[in-house]
Amino acid sequence: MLVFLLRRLAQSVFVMIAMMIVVFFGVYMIGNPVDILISPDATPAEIDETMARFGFDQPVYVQFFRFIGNALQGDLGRSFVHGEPAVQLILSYMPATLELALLGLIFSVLIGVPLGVYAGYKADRWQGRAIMTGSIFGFSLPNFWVGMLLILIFAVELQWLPSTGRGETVEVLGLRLSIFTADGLQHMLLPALTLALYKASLVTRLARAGTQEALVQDYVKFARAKGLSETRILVVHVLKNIMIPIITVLGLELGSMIAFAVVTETVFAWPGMGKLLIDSILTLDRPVIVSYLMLTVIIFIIINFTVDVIYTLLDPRVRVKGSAA
Amino acid sequence: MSTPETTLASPPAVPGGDTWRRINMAAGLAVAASLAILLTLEGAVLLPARVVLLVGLVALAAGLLRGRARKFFSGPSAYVATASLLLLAFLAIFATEISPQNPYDLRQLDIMDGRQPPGSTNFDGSMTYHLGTDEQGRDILSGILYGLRVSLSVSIFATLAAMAIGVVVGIYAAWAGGRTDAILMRIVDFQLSFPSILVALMLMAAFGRGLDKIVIALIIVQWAYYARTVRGTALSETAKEYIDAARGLGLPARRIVFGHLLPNCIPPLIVISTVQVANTIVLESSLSFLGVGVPITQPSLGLLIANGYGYMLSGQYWMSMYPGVALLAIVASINMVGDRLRDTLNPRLTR
Repeated sequence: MLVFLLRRLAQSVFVMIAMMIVVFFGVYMIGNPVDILISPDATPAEIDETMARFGFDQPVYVQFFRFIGNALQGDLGRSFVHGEPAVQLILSYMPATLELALLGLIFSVLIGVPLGVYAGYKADRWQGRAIMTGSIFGFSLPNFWVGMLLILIFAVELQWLPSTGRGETVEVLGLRLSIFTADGLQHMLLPALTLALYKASLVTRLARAGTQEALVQDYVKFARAKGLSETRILVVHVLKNIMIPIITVLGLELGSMIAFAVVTETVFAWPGMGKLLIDSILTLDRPVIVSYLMLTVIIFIIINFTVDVIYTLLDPRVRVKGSAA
Repeated sequence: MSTPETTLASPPAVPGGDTWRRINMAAGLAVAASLAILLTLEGAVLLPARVVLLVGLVALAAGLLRGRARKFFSGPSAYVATASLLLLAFLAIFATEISPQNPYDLRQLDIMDGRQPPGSTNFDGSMTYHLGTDEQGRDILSGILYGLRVSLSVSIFATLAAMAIGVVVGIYAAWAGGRTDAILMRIVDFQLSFPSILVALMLMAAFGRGLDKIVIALIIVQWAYYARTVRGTALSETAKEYIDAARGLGLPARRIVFGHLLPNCIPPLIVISTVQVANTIVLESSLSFLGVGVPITQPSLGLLIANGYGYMLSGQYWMSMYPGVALLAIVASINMVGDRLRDTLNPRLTR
């Protein structure tokens, strides 16, 4: 077991190093950031000074080793645009993305579970089929399209909800959050709903499959024999049993939620990491792009590592195979 | 030659399969080649290439549905989806001939006609803007037809290319086995553990905008998916008797892999690739919407939506809305056709 975990850990570290190399050389080819940083009428002396300050006058390999050395200390350079250390900059944008992703997850459970349980209960009837067809749309609709439609309906036509921004924030434990203010919550509603739609379809399918399986189990037959109402069987007995796998899957989906947030945040001008990434790509703010990529790689490696550990604990066959290979 | 044993996952064999297999292969190659030619040409005007493309697509569809058309068209949704898909493909291929104006010929644009609502006419009344105009006086309908062409050609070509790479890697991994297989599959696992939109976004950040670049990015994010699927199929096919028989006949490995193994690994991919074209269209449009996709001189539907997005909050909805409807129509019809195909081709999944 320990050997398996250590092996996986070593693999993760190897992946990190490989990613660093790929990232550095990938982003290095973007273009010459000096052209963007320096105004066209700058004197040659000013250009040289900026080049030296950012280290662009050094050979590529010197820049690379400097990059690796600094990265190990958590320093991935300063943002060209904001002038702040890039990692800190991204971390300061992170709470906005995380609270959005969290509310999105909650929404996807609130929408997906009832629909899925109902679809599983009426699997062969038109209601079940209609819900499943609807979930295909949830999978296939482009994220930004849904957001645009929601803005058009609720912000432009009905004028019920604000379309952009974060609204009022309040400081909780040193983090600026919108979720605890009424105004902030109003601002979060549409983006979180947009973000939730794709996952809601996933949850619907999981819940449907779980319900269909649960309904033929002995404990449901027993509950029916006791004379319990169908509602009570579904809400208490079935729901309790299908929630664990759903929550597990959703927890693992948090990472992809953060990835999808890039699109949603751009649509709603939500000032999170994703919007920062897009803005940085458009302005060629290299350190921020690199830091974002490294941070998401770390997040995904942690998530994948956790998945592996959970699977190993749940299924001993994985462990045997892993240590044999 | 007798048809090899059919698996559950592959469509039931039909007599005369070899001729059709060759026709399908030729049609697939024709589609890929004509798309490649059209993508490299600015504006994609070469008529013979477009005719070849249309014929190739029809031949592919005919090969797929041969002997199964009745099962495929078993409900109204199949008719609707097929009809709308055919219509949209036709509009995209012949966009230059059909659209009222060339939206990227600046001489045909009049800035005075900018942001006109749907149904308005131009200054001398010679042209009606049925879906309105954008900020530069460009007819939205024409823009959609041209955008449809970019979206479809980029996605179909990227999907075909990714499939080809995936098939080669997957079969190679399964055939070679051992360390090669382990290394290739680790790479696949690694890539699949990241969401494709994030990978594509980073690639586009490194490449910059461009039609060729988005195609490359879309191929890179997709090949691993096919490689894993094909490897799985190839592994189970290799264990079958017809491969043993071919080995027993003393056929060279090349002949076994290309003549026996490969044809039996393709069918399960057909449904996946259909749905994958729709996913690719969505991914491409998302990237273009974010401003890192196609160049502004050749906008896809996603970029059209992004361009009009700034005006939507002031109530000028048509610039974003109608390209969005076109995007939805193409994605939904491809997905519905893919759904029908899955039910038709794969008896294991029908319930």
